[in-house]
Amino acid sequence: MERKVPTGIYGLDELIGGGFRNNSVNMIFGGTGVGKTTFSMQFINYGLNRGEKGIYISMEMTEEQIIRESKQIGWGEIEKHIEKGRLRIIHTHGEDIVILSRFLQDIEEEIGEEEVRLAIDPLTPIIYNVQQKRHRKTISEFFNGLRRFGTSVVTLEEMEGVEMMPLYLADSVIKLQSLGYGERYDRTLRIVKYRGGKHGEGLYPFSIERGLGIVVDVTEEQINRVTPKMKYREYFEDAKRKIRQVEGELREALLNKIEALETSWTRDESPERVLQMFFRTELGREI
Amino acid sequence: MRTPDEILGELAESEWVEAAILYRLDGEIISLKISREGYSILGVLHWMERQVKHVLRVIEMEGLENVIYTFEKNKVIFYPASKSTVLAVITEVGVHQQLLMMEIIKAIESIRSYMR
Repeated sequence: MERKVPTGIYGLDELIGGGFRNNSVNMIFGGTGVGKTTFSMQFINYGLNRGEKGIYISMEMTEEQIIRESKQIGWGEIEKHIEKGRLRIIHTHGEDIVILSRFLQDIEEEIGEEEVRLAIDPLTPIIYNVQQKRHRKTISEFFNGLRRFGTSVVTLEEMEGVEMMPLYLADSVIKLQSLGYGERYDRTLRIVKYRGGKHGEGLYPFSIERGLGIVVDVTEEQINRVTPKMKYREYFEDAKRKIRQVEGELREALLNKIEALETSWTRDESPERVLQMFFRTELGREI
Repeated sequence: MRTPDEILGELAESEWVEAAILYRLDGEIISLKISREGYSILGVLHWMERQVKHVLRVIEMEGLENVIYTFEKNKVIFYPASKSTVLAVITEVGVHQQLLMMEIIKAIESIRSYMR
């Protein structure tokens, strides 16, 4: 099964099957002051506290500002991580990044061989700078580069004139909103996209708590909706037994399909009807 | 404290309610519960999907207490539930209005206390 990278965001991992996919680019998208920077810092800090390495590329805040903000939330250990070389903060300006492939090389020199948690906060000035004819290709290649380095959180500001292309190319997109009515659903999180797995489809309220950071308010019912239902294991085991009688290369392909279906079966209803359809389509008969 | 899913679930169990939807003012659905599925209600849901942002904007701007749209078989009642949410209830045309309103007001009180 694919390795997941815990996000460190309280309540989020339960909605995305355990965390971000390993070696993925995850976009955090929203307006100003909504919690994008806190999300990025929380993601990096979670890994640092567990011995992982992190790179924080900031287009706005200096290293001093990031340390100050982190301490403000209650993550004073960040200084220790910098001293021990586990965290590297790079403060740059989007205007200075003209060639993204060179920017990737610079990051690679900082990282070395080891996989890291990486944050770019925000991507917006870089996007402004590389708007050109082959824009999609450029961003796509940049994201592929980031995937080689480890798992990334990239923030994008929601405002007029900002190119939305990165949302299409990212592995997951999480939208943060803040309306300002002073009620529980003012600050909300929505998982817009999550490649390669099921995810919660609701609108989830969240708060930013000192000491913790972002805390997503998720109910048991909402978690249950995205949790694979183990009670139907027998149906899948039975299907696998039948597939093992199939000869040739098709057997392995069918087993892969059933295993993938089993691990993502979140519905409350039995998979019996779907499995019958599966056999009719794949083998031309019900078994 | 009961969640919006629980509050709307109970409302949708009422014999007069076909569906209950809690919207945030920007049109995002917070919770949706459908008690009976049918083509007539699908049509109304489709209409709501297209119109709800406009309806919510008018409710907010004009400070309306409620808005009722009547279709051939169904009625949709929009009620501001809190500062940032509006409850929409789909019923059949001709249901007992006062009994329905009692159910809606009970749900709104629960939503208000949850939203605080």
